[in-house]
Order: sequence, then C-alpha cells, then structure tokens
Amino acid sequence: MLAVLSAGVLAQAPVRFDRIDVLNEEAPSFLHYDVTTTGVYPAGTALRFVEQLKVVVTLPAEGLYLGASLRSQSLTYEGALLRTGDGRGLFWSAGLATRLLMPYAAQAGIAWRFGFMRLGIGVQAASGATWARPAWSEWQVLPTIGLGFGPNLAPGMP
Amino acid sequence: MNPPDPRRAPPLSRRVVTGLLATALMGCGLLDAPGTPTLVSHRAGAGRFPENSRSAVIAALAAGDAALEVDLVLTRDEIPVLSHDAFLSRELCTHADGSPLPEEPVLIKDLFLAQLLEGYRCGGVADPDTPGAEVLADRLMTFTELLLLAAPFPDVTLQLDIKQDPVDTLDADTYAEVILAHWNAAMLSNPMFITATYPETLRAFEARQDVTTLRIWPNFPPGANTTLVGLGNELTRTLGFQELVQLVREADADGIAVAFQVADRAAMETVRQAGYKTALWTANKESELTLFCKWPIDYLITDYPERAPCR
Repeated sequence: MLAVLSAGVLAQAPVRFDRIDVLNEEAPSFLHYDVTTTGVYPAGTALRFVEQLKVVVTLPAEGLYLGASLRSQSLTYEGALLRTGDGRGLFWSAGLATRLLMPYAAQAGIAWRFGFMRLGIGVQAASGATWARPAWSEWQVLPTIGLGFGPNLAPGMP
Repeated sequence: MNPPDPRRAPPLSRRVVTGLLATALMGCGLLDAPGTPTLVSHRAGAGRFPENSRSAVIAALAAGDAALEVDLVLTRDEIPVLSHDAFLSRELCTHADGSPLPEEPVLIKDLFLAQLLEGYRCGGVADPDTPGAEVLADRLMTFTELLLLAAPFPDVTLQLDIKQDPVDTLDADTYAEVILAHWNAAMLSNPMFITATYPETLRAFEARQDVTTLRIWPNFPPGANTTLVGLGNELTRTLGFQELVQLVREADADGIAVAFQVADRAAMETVRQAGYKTALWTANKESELTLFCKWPIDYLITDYPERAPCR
C-alpha cells in the first residue's frame, strides 16, 4: 500500500533532495545498542552505521517526505509548530517505517530545522516484521534521534 | 534566500529541543534490563586446556564452571567422541608417535574408536586461537567419559554441539539416535541442550525426544571466508530476507546461537520476546565479555569464563 501511495505521489511531480540523515530516526537501535559495541567490534558498528544512513527527499504533497536506507524505507509527514524567518523552525513529525516496503514500525516526534541541519527526536515502536516473517507480535519502544544535513527543505519552503 | 541564522531561533523552542535531546540521549544504553546469561565454557574451556580435551573438562568442572560446551562427532562404529571437526585437525593433532597428519583430511567417520585412540593424539600442539592454554597431548575423549565425569556435578549445564554435516559425517538420524541413547542411558539430571548448524540435524533430535535445541547461526562452512559469510548474512538479515525467529522456526528449534560479530541486540530481544532461547558465541576478550554480560540473553559462550564479570 505504501509503495502504491508513494508511486502515485511521485508520478505527480518530481521529488527534491532534502537531506542525508547520518543518524536515522527509524533505526534507534543503532544508537542504543550498536554504538555500544564499537569498542569490541568496530567493523560491525561501522557496517551498521552505513546500513542506517538515509537519503530523504520531499514529495509533492506538502510536508510529506520519503526516506530510504539499507535498513529501512519510510514515509513521514511534518507539520509546523514554530517557524523561523527563513521558513524553517520546529515541526512535529509522524511516520511509518518499512523494511523492503514491509511496514514494521511507526514513529512520532519533533524536529528542529535550522540552516542545513535537521535534528529530530521522538519515539518509535518497532516490530520484527519482515517479508521472511510478516508478524507484528513482538514490539520494542525506543527513543529516537535523527541528525541530517542537506538543503533542509522544511514543509512549505519553495 | 538569506543564509539561516540560528541566533534567530526562539529561545523557548531551543530549550525544549535541548531538553528533549538530553532526555533521548540519556536513554541511549541506559535502558538496559541487565541480563544474566549463563556462561558456557566453549569446547570445555579451550582457554585453559586443549579444546574438547579430558584435561579441559576436568579443569572446568573443578573450577565450578556453570556450563560446558563440547563438540560431538561419531566414529565409524558410531561412538560419539569430542572433536570440533569431522576430521582430525592437522594443526592440533598428530599420529600417536608424534608425526604430523597427512595433508588429506583424516575423517573421524572412517575410523573405528580403537583406531582413533591408538593411532592419534590431540592437544599436544599449541593452539594459536587460545594463547596461554596448556599444551597436553592426549587421546580423544569419548562422550561416555564426559558423562561419567559430569555425573557428580548435576548443576552443570551441558551444551552438546552436534558436528553433523551432509558431507563429512554420518547422517543426522544416526547422530540423534546414538547421542540420545548415550544421554538417556547415563540418566543424568544435568540440564542439557543441543546445538547444531543444520536444521535437519536439530529436527532429527526433536523428532525423537523433547530436548532443547538451538540453531547455530550463521553457518561458516570449512574453508569459507568468514568475513564474507558474516557480511552476507548481516546484509540479508538487515534487508529482511532473513529473520532470527523465522530461522528458529524453520529448524523446529527452541532458540538460536548467534556469532557475536553479527548479533543485533534488538533482533535478539525479539527472539526472546517470541519465547525462544538465545546464545552468543564466542566472546573471549574482557571488553567483549563485559559488554555481553549485560545483554538479555540466555547463554554467553566463551573460551575464558574466568574473564567474565558475570561469572
């Protein structure tokens, strides 16, 4: 369904590059768990870091963003809470994360956009669902942090 | 467009963001429900004595180790002996007279127990994987000997790692039949669980008896590049083509034993939430053991249990 929705939106107008997330809000386990293994297995942590790097583009519908990393793909909506003079500022966000387009997690939070940087924090509820085991029976809830750099196109910015 | 000026940010929202960021950061690594894994002495404590040896088993039991992992292979006359490989290791074993083994593998399934005990010695060559371990040449130990030695220690858990494979050993049904027969005949009250790489091996045990089984993952075939195998499994799991609970169910197993290099703690927690057991292998450095002692897993497998803070 997410794929159909995304394809439909993408067909209407070209997408624009928003940012690259070096800390992916959809992969909170990287910060919570994988970073702690750096001292014992740095190669593994480095690989997990690469896996969670996310490219985010804006979609033609205002406030809608599409993100993709090896670990996940997501559709996120952002709405304004406080705008600064340049159109950026504080936004709330809510999104759905997928693994190869299999929905497995939902998250919500707030994001501070300033200059070329976006900093997001929130909470994610994630299941272990994959195409190999499409089940949503086990859940984990973790706080999330996202840190991205790029043109930083806040909702409504030209 | 004017360049952005962060100084124009409203002070209130900045304080809110800073506060929430601090809260989120505090959560990182501090959300642990500390684990209490049972430490398993890998190959009976290969950090102290030659792997899977009589001396290692005796030392581990005397040291009060909580659990022992041993590898089992069947001889031609279907006697289980302790050996990590389906063949005699050229690095760790010699002929009884001390001469080196031939280049072509000496398969244990081709030898009768008597031939194995009379003709070969293992442990008399230093193992580069476990520096500091005693070097002591000895005959291979049989499973029956292990059970006799373990009998006075009923609280010690035994992990039987079944080294059955489709090419170099006898078949899975024979392994399950013979090993369970030995185990049942010993009538030990020790907790015991079976591990194996191949699902068909685990299924053969499950089909005969209600026994706890854990699937070893990933499978590192002999001679394979372990980095590439690990990387391939990591990526297929990350992308969602493999999933740990699914791997457990596929083998009709009761849990999974994961190499720590590819272990994803969140995925391991999912396995536990689904009601299955989890094990991690093989952490040997103090830093590794200190970290993994805090993971919520059932078993932590190590050559050096004495180095673990959760001992």
